[in-house]
Amino acid sequence: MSKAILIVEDDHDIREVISEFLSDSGFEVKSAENGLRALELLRAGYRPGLILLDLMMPVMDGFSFREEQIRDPEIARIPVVVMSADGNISQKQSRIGAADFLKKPLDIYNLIQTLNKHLEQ
Amino acid sequence: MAKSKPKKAKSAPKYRRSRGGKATRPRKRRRLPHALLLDAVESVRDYAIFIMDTSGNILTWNSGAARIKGYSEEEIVGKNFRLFYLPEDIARNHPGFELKQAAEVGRYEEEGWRKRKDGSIFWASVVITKLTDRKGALVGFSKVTRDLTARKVMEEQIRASEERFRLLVGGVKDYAIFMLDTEGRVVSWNEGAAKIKGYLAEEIIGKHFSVFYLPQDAASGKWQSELQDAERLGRFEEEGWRVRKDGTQFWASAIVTPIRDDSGRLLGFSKVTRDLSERKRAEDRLQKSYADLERRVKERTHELSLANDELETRSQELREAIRVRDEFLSIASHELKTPITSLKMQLQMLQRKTHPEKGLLPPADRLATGLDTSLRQVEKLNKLVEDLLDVARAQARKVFFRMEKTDLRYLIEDVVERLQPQIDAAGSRIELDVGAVSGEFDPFRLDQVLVNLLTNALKYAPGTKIQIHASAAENTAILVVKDEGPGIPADSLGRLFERFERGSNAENVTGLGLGLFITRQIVEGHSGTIRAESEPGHGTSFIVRLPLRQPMVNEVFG
Repeated sequence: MSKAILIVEDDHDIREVISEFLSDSGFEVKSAENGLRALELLRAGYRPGLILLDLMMPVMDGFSFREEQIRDPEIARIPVVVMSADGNISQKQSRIGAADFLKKPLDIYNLIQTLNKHLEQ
Repeated sequence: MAKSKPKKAKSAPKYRRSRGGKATRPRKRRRLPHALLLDAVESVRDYAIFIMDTSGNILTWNSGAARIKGYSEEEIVGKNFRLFYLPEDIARNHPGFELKQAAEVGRYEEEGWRKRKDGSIFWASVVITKLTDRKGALVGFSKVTRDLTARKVMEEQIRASEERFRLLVGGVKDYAIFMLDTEGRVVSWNEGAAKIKGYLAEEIIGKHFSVFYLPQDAASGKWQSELQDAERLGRFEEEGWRVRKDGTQFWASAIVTPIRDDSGRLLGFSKVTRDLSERKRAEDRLQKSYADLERRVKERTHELSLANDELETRSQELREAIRVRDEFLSIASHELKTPITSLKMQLQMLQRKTHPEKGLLPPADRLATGLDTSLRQVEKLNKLVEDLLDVARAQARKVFFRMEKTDLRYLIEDVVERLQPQIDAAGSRIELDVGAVSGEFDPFRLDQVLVNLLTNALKYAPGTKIQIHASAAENTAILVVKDEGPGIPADSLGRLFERFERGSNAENVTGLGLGLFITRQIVEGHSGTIRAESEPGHGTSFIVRLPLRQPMVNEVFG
């Protein structure tokens, strides 16, 4: 299992800081600013070990991305961890069938633990 | 009857013999028809036929007399006919009177009560005829008597029955029962008719019954068609208005029946009329109260339906308000937590690279980027908090305006200059058409209006030309910000200035959706108006009108 992570997040600053942190921590990182861009990367053949997915994004949000992902057998099994500022994130996580969820604001130490947990499986 | 037969058989030959004894043989043949007549008379059973002398003494007797009166020939011949009369008739010498009458006139006829041998009485029809000799001298009387008791009894019964019926009808008070002739003239009148119609019998009998009808009914011949219908159908029945003698009206139920004799010839009509005014009034009252009830039920149903509609509307508004609030909370949460997330992770990263015990610090350029990013997040947070506070203040009616002489053109140019980096980033360009406009405005608040309208255009119509127009006319400043973006659907225009509203095409737009709400609050705080005009595909214009002079300084709004 590769330690490749795809970050899907619309906020430039957050995307940058997570990428930096995960790279520092030994992950291979790619990022996309919305769901559509992420789908393009996946359909182009990119196969990360895990997708870190924001829910509220312009162009294509996390929910729509997840629908498209599940519909495509090539990429459907890649585990997804959602992150959101929404108070009801745990409900939304189970609704879209994500492996786990992270509440914003994110904590970098907690982030590492969660990613490792789902990458090992 | 069985007893009288042998008597008759015995007496008849005896009579014949005595008569025959007096007759001469040579005359016998000539008198034969008379003898036959005598036989015939003698055998008549339904008539008592006998001869009396001038004083009323009985000379002959036939079988009918024996049957009717109960005396045999032997018993009665030679006796006076007074025997047949009741004591009171004898007392007033009625038998003598009868004979006297017959003697004078030749004939006397009457019906009256007579007595049989056994004392019982019977109703007799009597004819006494004077008998004279050839010279005309009185020689006696013949008497023919019939027993009419059965007929008399029947007549009595009929008469009594008719009398009872007359009394019954006459005494009926609740029904007017009267008879009309074939032409419709009143021929009888009962008490009820007098009571109901107000006419006494002597006032109305002989008059035409059309006087009972309303003038228009009398004129139209309604009564005539009623009689015709009754004659044709055997009965006519109706309810309608009739008139009393005093002119008042009453609601009548009338039944007209034709009266015919045995051969079917029309004799007239019977008419039975009831005064149903009270029932009619009760029915009318009932109908009216029913109609009232129905009307009230309808009204109430209508009210309830309106109330229900209003409730439904209010409920929808409430659901919409809740939806908007939930959406706002979700957006606010997202908008506020995004810079906090960024800030927190930035700081954690810097912290992670900082190890004072080892004398390790983040590289200078990394530190500079971290600080820049962090400060930018703080600015974002500050702006969001300001927006929220503005709304909160507006809610609490705590926003005050400091009106002062303000140059609108200067204000517009300043805002455009300040926002130039964002204008460039959006790929938009500004076209100014701004005249010299100055008035009493709150410059800081008006600055906020301009920023909001301009950033709104940059958000929703990036990459297009944005025209800003300002002019003054009739003590009013007019400010127009027009973009060439996709426009706003008509159904969203009305909600544009509501709190937390964001354009439905706002997928790639961030923010709290408070900008236009705050803008409207400020414009209205200047006693002005703001509205949006848009045609999908042809951009949107926001038009602000502000009075140049404020009616009051430091006005409170909310």
